[in-house]
Amino acid sequence: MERPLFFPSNGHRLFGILHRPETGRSSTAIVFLNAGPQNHTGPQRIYVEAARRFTAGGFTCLRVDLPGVGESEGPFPENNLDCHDPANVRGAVDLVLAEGAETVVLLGLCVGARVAARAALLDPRVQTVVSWSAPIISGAPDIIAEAISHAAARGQIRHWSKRLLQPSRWMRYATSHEARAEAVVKVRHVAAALLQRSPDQTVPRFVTEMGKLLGSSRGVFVAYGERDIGPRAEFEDHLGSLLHPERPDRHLLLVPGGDHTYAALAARDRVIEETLAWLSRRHPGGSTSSYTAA
Amino acid sequence: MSVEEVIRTYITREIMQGRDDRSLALDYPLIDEHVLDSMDIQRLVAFLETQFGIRITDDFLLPDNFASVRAIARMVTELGGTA
Amino acid sequence: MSDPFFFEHDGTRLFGVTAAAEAPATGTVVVLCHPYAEEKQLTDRVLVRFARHLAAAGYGTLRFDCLGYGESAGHLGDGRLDTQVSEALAAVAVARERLAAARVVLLGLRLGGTVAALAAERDSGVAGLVLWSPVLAGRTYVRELLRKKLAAQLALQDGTSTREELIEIIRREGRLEFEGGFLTAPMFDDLSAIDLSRQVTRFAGPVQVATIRQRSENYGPSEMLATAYRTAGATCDVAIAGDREYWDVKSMFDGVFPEELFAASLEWMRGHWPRAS
Repeated sequence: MERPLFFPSNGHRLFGILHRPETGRSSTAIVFLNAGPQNHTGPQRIYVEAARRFTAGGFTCLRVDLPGVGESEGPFPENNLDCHDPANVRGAVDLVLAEGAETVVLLGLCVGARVAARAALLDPRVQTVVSWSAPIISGAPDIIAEAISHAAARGQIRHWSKRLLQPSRWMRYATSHEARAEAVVKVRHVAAALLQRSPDQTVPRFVTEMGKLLGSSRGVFVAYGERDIGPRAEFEDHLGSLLHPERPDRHLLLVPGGDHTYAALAARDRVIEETLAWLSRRHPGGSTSSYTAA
Repeated sequence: MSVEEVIRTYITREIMQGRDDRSLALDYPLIDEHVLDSMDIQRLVAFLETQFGIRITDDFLLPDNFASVRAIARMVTELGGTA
Repeated sequence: MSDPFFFEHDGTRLFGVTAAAEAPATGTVVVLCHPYAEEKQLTDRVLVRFARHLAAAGYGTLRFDCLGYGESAGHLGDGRLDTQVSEALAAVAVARERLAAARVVLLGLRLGGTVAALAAERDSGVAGLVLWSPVLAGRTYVRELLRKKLAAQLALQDGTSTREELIEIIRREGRLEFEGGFLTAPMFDDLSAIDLSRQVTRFAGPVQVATIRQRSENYGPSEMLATAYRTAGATCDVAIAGDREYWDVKSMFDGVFPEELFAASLEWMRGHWPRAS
């Protein structure tokens, strides 16, 4: 059963789709968090597919639109890896607990994985995090990473200085609303990088946060596509030693043929099935049967 | 600026977003190292066509032609593009 | 305030979201038809935002997901172009009922524009059309789709099929894996056959065809469509609004909205169906 609904969270009115298994009640709920600005269906509808399979496997699922995304109100999220405030996840956890769940899992892809990890650290009611393709430091193309270095920011300014000497550039800004909007976004991000990031800072904040999560008693499932070289390498370099995959409440999955969003159907099936299998082992009371893909 | 430099600058600034401060080598394996994903390739093709006034037909969308900055530059030159 | 719901059409469970018009209402409701495949996700923010602008301007709205999209049943590739046209017509009926619409206007983006135009050919009750960069020539469009596949293949090092070989795969296997689903042979043929200027022969209501500025300043295809509509007895305005495509990944992440296009279409709507004074 799938039910669209609105619910309050941290002063916002958020949208979600609640999936209930046919058995009616499940002790474990999985909350899906937006992959950046992409709505509750996820890239290539991966969240819909995953939630339907997890529900067939006996779990309750809630796919959420955080503020500014999809059907939820609020300004459109900024173009950075931490555009979502983890405090806004609280209402989703409240909702699934009110629906009868005893165990809460937060799942996210890319930016969603970062907010899932951060939200779990803020909320002791979250027992498990599923992290698909979490960028640890650098962003995927088109996402300007929080950790853009001072050197890169200075390089951007030098690049713009040359462009601004061209009259055609000024003409474009004068005549195009979109060009002006795009320029404002870029200026804000470079300014933020120059102001916030100290040249002395050696450990990006999220590395510390993810390290805390991996050092906790929470269950953590980490997946990367085999072809998602950058994020995967950053995880292995900075956090790989903290994962302890020999622990039953930890798992690292490298998805053959998988890119950042598991676009290939075989990769998508693999990440969904392995996540479901691990969740079913970790939360056996929350699932009633194992799902077999058609 | 040479064709190679124009291409290298674009890839470094727009696709790698300056996240690697090291200079991108002309022969760095862009495809093998998964620097370019499918969206990047579409954007890069659009940039090359606009920047160099060329038309990159589907026949040219081959790994050999996008393997490195130097390979891309060679393709651009073959298609009549100049700096 | 948005009202999400499921509805049935032809045995398929579809999803929609209505928004009531803010008072004073115009009595006109806009049904929004989404693009094909992943473009729907990439432009979701555009249609959501414009629906809110419409509601604030006195127009109720209904956004719906076709079979295989969003919250609706099925997977990409389960339907054909005609399925989407039929679903658009079902959405028109739902909008009339749920929002007590005196008039329904169809708005479509990219292939959604084509769907809206084809739906209006079948339902003489559609009051107007707003077509944002509709797919006009199917052969050009399928080349664009196959080029996306070639780029994906190149990036993932998934073989080196040429465009002709991809078409051969479609013919031989009946489908090609595409953006989380399949581009099936029947859908490929449906898309290839689109020649919208020749297909609009009946709709005689007001039409706005919107296109983004072209570097080449060639607006021939949009003008041909406008001519076809005028020949059929419709009034057709061509709006040139915006500088960049807003249906790609970069636009989504940058959060750039086609505000110039929004303004142009809202002004056009107000000109035809103003608020009661």
